[in-house]
Amino acid sequence: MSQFEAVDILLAEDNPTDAELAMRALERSKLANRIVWVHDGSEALEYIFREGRYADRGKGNPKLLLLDLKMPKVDGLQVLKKVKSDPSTQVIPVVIMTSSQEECDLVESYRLGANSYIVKPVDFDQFVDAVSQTAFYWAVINKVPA
Amino acid sequence: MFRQHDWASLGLITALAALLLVAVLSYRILAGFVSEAQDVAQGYEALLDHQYVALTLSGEEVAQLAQRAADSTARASKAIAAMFVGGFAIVAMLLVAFGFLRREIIRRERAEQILRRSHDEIEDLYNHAPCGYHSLDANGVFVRINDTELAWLGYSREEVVGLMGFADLLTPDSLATFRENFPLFLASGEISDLDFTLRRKDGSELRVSLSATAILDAEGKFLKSRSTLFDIGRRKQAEAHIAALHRDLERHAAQLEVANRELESFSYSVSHDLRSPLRAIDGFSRMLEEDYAGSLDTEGLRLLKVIRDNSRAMGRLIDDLLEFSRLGRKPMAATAINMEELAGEALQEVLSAQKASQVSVVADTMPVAWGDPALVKQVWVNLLSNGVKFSSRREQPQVEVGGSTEGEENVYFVRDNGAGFDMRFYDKLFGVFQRLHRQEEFEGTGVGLAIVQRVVSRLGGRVWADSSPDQGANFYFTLPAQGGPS
Repeated sequence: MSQFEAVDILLAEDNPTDAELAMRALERSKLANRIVWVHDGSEALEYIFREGRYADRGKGNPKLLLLDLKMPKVDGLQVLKKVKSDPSTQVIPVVIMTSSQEECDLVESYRLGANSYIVKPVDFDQFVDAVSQTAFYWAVINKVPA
Repeated sequence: MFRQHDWASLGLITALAALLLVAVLSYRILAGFVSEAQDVAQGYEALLDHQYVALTLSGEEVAQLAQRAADSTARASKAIAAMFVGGFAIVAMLLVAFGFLRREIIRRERAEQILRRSHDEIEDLYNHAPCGYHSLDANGVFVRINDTELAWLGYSREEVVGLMGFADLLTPDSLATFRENFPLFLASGEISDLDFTLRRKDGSELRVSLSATAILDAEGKFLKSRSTLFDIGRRKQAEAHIAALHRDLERHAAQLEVANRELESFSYSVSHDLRSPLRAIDGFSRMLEEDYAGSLDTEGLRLLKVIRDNSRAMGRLIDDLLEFSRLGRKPMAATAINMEELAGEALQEVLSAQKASQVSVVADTMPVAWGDPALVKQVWVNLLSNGVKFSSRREQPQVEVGGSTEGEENVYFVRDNGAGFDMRFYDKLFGVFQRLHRQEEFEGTGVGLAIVQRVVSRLGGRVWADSSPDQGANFYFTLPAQGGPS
């Protein structure tokens, strides 16, 4: 498979403003051929496990899950746990993208198997930087089993 | 068996007997002399009557007669002398015997006095002891009770001894304890630290602790008890007070727990929820700038820049404030710290963060300190960051660091040759969000030194500074010397 194939990035973010900024950052870096934005944890799980409204989506896992922590209904840590404990979805790189710098969130995220943890910068330029670098690394450079 | 006064009595009797004997002997001797003298006189008379017999008496016979007269005179004198000596001896013996007797009497009197005093003292010790003493017979009736206990109970001795039983004074709960334990006491002969509640004559309650041992008769049967009673009312009060204080303490601790948790969640909220809107403000201003630069004039762009600058400033404020509050909550490690190394690391971070490569650094030696390395590093970072920042405008910016030991603490310093500050505003120097320079001159949130002060005082030290405008600034802080208190 070509290194620069269309990448599927699943963005789980409840805040529309943050989602808009993130998608703009991804568009800028020209990595976002296919970005899917889900609004909360339960929608994220439906997408990943092809349930509910996403029951008919094409097969295959997203190449990268950008996961916010604080979401309604099902929060980020619960999604993380589910994704990382299911053999068929374990390999999906999960990058936590959150405003929280709290040590407890860091600890718990890594304990549940997050691949990376990024604190969303307030500064937009830095934010764009962080998002594009992340996406480029995890979704393009990094390899996952099929 | 034979004590001194027996000897004295014996002496007296002996003296009297001797006196009697001497008297009798003297009488006999005297009587003898008298009759002998009579004989001699009669002899002379006889001779005189028979004068011519006297004339015809030979010189020898005369001499004999004279001799006999002299003899009897001598004997009479001897006898009288002996009598006197005997008399003196008797008197002397009487005096000695009398002396012994007197001494005995005095000794006996003194012994009686001591005995009486001892008895009084024991009575006093028993009756006025700071605790209650009493004795019960095998039926639990008072046979003896001291004044203190009577006073506690409000009864008189006549009302109690032989008439009241210990059980009669007890409240129902205590009665059960007594009924259970008295037989055990009778059997074993001792009991200790039983708590009872007694009822005074006026009906009020008295809480006591009782201990007792048993007096046995010659056959080993229980005769009566020796009991002590201690008033534990005050102790019970103190215990109740302590229990109440304990409950208060627990309640306060619980409240503190709640407050702490509220603070934690508050910090968490700040950390998370305040940043999102800020990011939006900054991001969307930027998007506006990028997408509509064409439609905006310079003023429009400037306005946007102001929006962005301010949102970024707020972000930094939030970060610093969070840092400040987090420092109070973090548990502190306590180890020896190589200050030279730590300061060096901090300096590297500061220099690269501020991109200030042309600052010349003078690093003197520093003694090892005692504290939490992460927190102390924060102090260095903040102080050095200031030093570098405020001297950055100089042609030859210079920062100097060093330290020395003064008694039980080490004093460290950070010196710069920068803008300095006015000592008139010294009391604002370490205040939160207090700045002594304008943002246009030097950027900053005004939390750095507040953090330094908080950390240093948590570590057991002090921080201070001196400076004058345009003359650079010297910042000093102390930390306990190695091995000191943490």
